[in-house]
Amino acid sequence: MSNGWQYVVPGYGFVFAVLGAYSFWLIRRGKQLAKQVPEERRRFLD
Amino acid sequence: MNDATLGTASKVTTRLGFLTLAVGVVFLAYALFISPPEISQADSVRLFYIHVPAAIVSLYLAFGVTAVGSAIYLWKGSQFWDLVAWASAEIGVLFCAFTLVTGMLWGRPTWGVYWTWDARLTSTAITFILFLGYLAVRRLDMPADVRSRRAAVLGIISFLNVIIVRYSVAWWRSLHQGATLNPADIQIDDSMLFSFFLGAVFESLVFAWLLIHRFRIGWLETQLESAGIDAAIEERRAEGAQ
Repeated sequence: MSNGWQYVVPGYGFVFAVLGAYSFWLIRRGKQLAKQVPEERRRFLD
Repeated sequence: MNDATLGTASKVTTRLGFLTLAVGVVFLAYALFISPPEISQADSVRLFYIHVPAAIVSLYLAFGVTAVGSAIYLWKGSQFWDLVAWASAEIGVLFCAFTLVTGMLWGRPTWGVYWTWDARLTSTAITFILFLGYLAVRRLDMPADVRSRRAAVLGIISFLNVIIVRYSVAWWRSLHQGATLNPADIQIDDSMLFSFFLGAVFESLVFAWLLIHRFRIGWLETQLESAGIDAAIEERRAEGAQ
């Protein structure tokens, strides 16, 4: 690779990898918490 | 009422998520393949399409929402805005990290170094550290209302640093370029401008999607905490009645 691709690929790779990992963590944490919280307290989820 | 198996997802977040993915695919196509290399920077200019929108989303949008949410919390004591401020700060720190990392990667081929103690870079790094401190305060073991008040004050003070970031290139001699785009005199190839625009839209949509989910997690955590306190009070009452 040349002309700057050696910087572009890690840059985009870092951003999308971190976004993917954080999104996955958010979804999983949300499912775990929603199971523990009583239904009448799950306001703001609709 | 939301089904517990869905977690923090809802119809709105699902639609927003698919829209974000679709815009993301078009953005990547333009940013990495369709837009041409720049004459002097060659392909490293492609970092511009992800670096500048990340800076706008973190510094102005995310930390701005934190400052506004913090101010409303201090004014009205609204738990909703307290949680919005917290959620936005966490995502802002994430995007600020993207700004610093992509900026360093862009700096190497452009300036010859990954990092220099330039006014814009240093003030951005300070903002990043300040909001990391904000997130640390949110995890301190103290009464929830005291913690929220302290975090709100820190959130507003930290946002003032964004003004320094904004004007740092004008106030000090800087290696970093000034305003990227002058709306009165745009001198950039159309496909490059469109790639930048797509990057800004994509990253704003990602921010909105993450903000909703992160806010809902914060809400569920506080509900779980208060449900635990209610249960403990009931238990003590039952013990007292015996």
